[in-house]
Amino acid sequence: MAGQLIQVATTTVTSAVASVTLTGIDSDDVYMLAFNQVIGSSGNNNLEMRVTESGTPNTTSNYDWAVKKLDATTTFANQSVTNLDHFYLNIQVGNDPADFEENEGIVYIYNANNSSEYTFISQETVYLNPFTAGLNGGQGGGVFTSASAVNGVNLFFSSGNIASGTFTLYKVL
Amino acid sequence: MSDKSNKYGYVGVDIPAQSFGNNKGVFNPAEINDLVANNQWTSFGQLELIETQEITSTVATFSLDNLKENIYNVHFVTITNWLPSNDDRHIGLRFKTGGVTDSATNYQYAMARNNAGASDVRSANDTKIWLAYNVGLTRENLNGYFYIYNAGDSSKYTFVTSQNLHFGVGIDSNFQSAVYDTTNVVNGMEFFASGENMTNGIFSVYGIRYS
Repeated sequence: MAGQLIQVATTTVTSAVASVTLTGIDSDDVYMLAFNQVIGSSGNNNLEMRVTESGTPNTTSNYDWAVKKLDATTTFANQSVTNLDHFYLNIQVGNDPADFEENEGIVYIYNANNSSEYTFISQETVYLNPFTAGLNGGQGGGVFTSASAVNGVNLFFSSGNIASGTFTLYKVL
Repeated sequence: MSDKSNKYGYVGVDIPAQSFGNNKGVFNPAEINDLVANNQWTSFGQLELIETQEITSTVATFSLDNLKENIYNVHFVTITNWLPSNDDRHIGLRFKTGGVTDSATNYQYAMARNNAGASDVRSANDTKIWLAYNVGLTRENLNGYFYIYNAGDSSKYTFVTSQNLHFGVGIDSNFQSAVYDTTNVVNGMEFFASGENMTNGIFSVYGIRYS
């Protein structure tokens, strides 16, 4: 485990926005994204992420993703997809602060700045299931299957806006 | 009250209040050291080591009681070489509120265990969070980490994600999501074994600034 985090970019959403973009990846170090108290403007929704190149989200179908879905109320499930146009961070999340339905998590980003390698992520997330109120989470990762220089990430919900939350990108040294 | 003492490069005028993200003036090294010590110096993105504690004798419980939960939204905790006093014991975690360990049924967890003979572990209404199952004794130490989200927020639940590795019935790794599903402010945590005592372990808690 590395010894120091250097903040690269941070955004705290206090009024609704369609997405949040954090840029500043400019070295071959590992980067870490922390997201805290993130909630959407509509429920039964997915929190998703794309990488950015020169500040622009890449929307091509070059995202492969696999996680173990953790659930305090039922059997865990493997979830995986290929050739999406985004990564999932959490699937089917709620949006009611009164029911504590915020999204929390950490994403590590590897090889982003290296234009000759794919960009990999590992993720660990947690939230409350809006249907059962049970504890849910996911651990796993994904790969952006394009050898290009990635300089940031773009966060958004599958529909609606980001109502609130803090997103912070760190360089790991 | 105005402060006209001579520091931060100012002479005979009101000196601006200093705070993280809002330092004004010209600073000498001693002033910077003082501001760092008072958490008033701007240094973005630090991973601050809040405290490290070590189990040095056989104990039933072990606590970390300094989280600086009023400063940090996200904490990072490492566990190094934890051992129970008896074979095949789990390591448990409970949170403290007002300095008192909460052992009510305020916890949920879901742990995936990556061991050929192990089954996953889950509970939606529990008195603790198990961070790992069936930790062995000789050189079978548990090592790992977890993140804590919202510990100091009295309007939010406190969430956890974790990853741990140890020997038990063979090599055993696990990863987990968990929640302390009350809005209590968490100002400490307590570790314990599923039976008997603990003999080893180093615990460090870090704050992740502006997360």
